[in-house]
Amino acid sequence: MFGYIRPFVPDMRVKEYVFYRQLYCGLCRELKKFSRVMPFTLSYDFVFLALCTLAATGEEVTFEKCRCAARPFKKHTCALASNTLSYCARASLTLTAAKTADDVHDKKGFRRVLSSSLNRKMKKLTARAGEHPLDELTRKSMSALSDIENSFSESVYDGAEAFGALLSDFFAHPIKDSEKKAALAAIGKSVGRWIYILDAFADVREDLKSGSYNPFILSGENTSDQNTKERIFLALEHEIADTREHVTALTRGADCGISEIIENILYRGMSTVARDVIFGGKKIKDRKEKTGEGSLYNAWGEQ
Amino acid sequence: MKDPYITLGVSSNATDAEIKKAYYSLARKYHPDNYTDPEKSKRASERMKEINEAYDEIKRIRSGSGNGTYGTHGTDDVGKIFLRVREYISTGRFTEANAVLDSVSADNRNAEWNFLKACVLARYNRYYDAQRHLELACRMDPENPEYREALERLKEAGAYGSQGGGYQSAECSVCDICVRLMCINAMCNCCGGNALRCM
Repeated sequence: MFGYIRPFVPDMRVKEYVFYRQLYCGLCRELKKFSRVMPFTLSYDFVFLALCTLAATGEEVTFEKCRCAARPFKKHTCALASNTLSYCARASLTLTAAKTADDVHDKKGFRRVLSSSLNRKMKKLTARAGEHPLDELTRKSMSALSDIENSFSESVYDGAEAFGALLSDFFAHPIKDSEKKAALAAIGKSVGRWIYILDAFADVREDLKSGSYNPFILSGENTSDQNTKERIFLALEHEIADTREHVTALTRGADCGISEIIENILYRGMSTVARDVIFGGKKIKDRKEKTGEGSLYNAWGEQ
Repeated sequence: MKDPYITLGVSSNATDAEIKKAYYSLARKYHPDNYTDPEKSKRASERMKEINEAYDEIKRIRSGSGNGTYGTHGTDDVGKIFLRVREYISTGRFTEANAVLDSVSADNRNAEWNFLKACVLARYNRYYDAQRHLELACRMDPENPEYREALERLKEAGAYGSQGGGYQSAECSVCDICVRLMCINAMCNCCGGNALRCM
């Protein structure tokens, strides 16, 4: 969706990186079942969801060689775990559809025309895929979010909590085991809050121009000020710190390769992304951006 | 403080929605990010502070706590109020604490108010907002150790995010043991030291 949740590649074992890519390909394959263009909406965020779901359910992953349009000359391996990946693909469809519906409201001019045609496409795909419990949950959360935006709350946390609640549902939904379900709900909540806060901060300049709601506009702080940047970064670190105990519960008994990647994403990947966006002014929405390889910071957090 | 309605440029009869709209368009206009010149940016920040205070004051007035209920009756009353808030906090009654804090007028929102507000916000995991209030408290009352310590603790808790726990900053407990063994060795009787009798 946003692409903020990605691993820090310099710190991965080669086999972990390879597995990550295989999972990405597996997810892409599932998305293709909805439509040939759906894979364009694919983001790293949902690979993280897949990893967490795999850790909680322990579903077996198989591998298969396949071809794809993105790399037509090379057959490559993709990971298959049909329950997990089909869930993640469906979740991706739901969230993308919600985002395009939201964009139609927020964007103006030419972008609105583009958004509304995308929106119609998304509605068609969702109808074809059939109703899923996530759709209803997402609708409720999105309407809660737009209420918050209309209330002009000065605290970023009102929106962050709503978005956190949404992701919490996404992470917890497919899990039966109650302990893992609770752990994933908590992780989803913190990750959702993290994404919302970072995205709000990154969008301040744009929202000032377009007049869109942004809580950091109301707080009146200079986003170029070093103190503000450090404060935001620390707030994001707090969210990550809140996940620690739950990750321990999640990864208990899980495949250690998967656990390692999850911890890499949470404890190294996300803070690298945060540093790049806050201090380095990077736009992570660039699709050419590889998983942490283009970071401004090396493995030791130095520039 | 100056009449908050004048600061926001609205009439005192304006609806809540009109007030919000005025607030938002002023915030957009005076946001420091609009100005590259640091002087202008600083002045914009100051203006934003006035605007935010005015908006908070109007919210407080309109929420029915009444203008001047906790007005300038002297610092004694305010001190009692803050004691009550501390009591609420220590007994875990954060909703009541928050309500009392919000009913305090803008003129009485001193360092202690900011500190207590930060405590309540931290309880609700609103770390960014809590830190802002703590920093304000420390600026208003630089000598106070309570506020400084709280700010330090908040920062430490955050640093636990990606730095702590992983191998990046794990305390080398093996080294600890080694050092301790070496010390014991040096002190031990049979190895030349005379602090510990081992034989």
